[in-house]
Amino acid sequence: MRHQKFKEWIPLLVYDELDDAQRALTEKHLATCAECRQQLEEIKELTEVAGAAHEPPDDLLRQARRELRIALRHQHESSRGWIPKWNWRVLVPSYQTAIAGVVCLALGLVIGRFYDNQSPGEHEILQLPVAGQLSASSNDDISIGNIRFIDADATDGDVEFTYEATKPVRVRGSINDPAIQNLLSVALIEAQNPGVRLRAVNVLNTDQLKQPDDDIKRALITALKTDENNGVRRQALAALQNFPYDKQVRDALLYVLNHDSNPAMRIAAIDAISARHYVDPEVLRVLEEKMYTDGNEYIRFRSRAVVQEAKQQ
Amino acid sequence: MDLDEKELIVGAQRGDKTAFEQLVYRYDRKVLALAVSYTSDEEDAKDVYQEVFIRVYKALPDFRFESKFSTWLYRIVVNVCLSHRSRLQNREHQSLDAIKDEDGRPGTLELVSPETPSDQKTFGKEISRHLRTAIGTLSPQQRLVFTLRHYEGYKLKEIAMLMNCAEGTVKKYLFTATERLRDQLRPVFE
Repeated sequence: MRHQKFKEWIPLLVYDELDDAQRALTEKHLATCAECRQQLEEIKELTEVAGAAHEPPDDLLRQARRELRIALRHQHESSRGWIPKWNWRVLVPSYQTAIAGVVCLALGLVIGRFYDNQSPGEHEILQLPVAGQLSASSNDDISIGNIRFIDADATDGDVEFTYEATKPVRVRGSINDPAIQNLLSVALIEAQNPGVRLRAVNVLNTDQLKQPDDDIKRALITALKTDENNGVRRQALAALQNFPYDKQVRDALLYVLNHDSNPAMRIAAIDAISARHYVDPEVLRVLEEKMYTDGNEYIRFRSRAVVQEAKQQ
Repeated sequence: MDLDEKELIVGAQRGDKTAFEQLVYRYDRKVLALAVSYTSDEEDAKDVYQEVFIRVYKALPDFRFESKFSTWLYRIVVNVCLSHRSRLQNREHQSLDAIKDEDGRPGTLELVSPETPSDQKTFGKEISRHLRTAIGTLSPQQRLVFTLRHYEGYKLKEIAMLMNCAEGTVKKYLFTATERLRDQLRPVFE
């Protein structure tokens, strides 16, 4: 067998990918070939250095999940209509100058197309709802964002890009209005600024909320499980206390107890469970495990206390 | 596939957002871990993660239970990884040869042998950094095969199925990947 073939088999030997016959041949070759023995040692060293896969940090996972939710919402809404009904954006002021420049460019391109000989109906771009409203000189309320170039090569005279035009809407109404609740849920889940998400959850954490719908609860549970900001998660947990005990709320608290890296959150979950007497068999099982396995001494102590109290009842 | 997972898939196919979310949460930690190992960059990893699950979202109505969901999902992961272009596109062309000393002249890797525990920790971090750089010099196919075999524990036969290529091709990729990594890291180990 050619020497090169044995060299190709060395990494397969390290990763246990050779069959018995191949392994025997390779080991026989190694006994007589210093070069291949060195290759073997170096690959073994490489695999040790490479180590095992690392778990992604919790914060990274939370960020990824949140960004995915936002992206999926855009996917869903863009398949229903071009401009989403309850689209909510916050534009950082420092981008406004850059955006004004892009608006001028967009306006120039749109006007140029508009005076093209071809009929407007043949170009989808001319059918954009807000095209006629764009003006570089007026203080239009319309905000331009999320500009993405599809074809930025203007050598053929054409460019193509997409953008989203949004108009701020001022809303005032009852916290029990479903439309208001819907907006607050969106803000809680999708606002980029954690301060805005915190305000949204604080608004929802009120005893004035008499008729919360399931979307609110789902948004709070999602925020509790996935928001990367400790304050938002903390307030979401507090807000959920206003909801009747059910399996969803219980599961959310157990999720926090099992997965939240912040000990204060895990303590808050235990307190919430204890205060509402949520100690069913599944909760008991998790707390009994936490008595021994949690890395925080106080959590182990609290878990034990809640378990003992539950067993005495 | 357990019944619970089948119910989640069917629910998600019917438009149940909660079911889709639960389905994602079953796999997304592992997908993100693979993406981090593959890209060596957290922002790139998030891009890969998002692209994977958007494709899952779009294609899920067409999933016919003809294979395991995890297999179907990881085929998507493989395709996304292979087509992913790093935010730092010159990362793939960096090599340890590009290391320069303070005067901008080509430098050599000189790692002082660790003597104290804190030295050892720093040394370990340095090695990891060099390894990540070296992995970044591999071609997408080599990098993917190495990531799936070494970090994810897939057998080469399974990787071949996921990548839709011959097992012999995957073996070549693994061989070339390990040869390149050995070459890149030899100055570090010596």
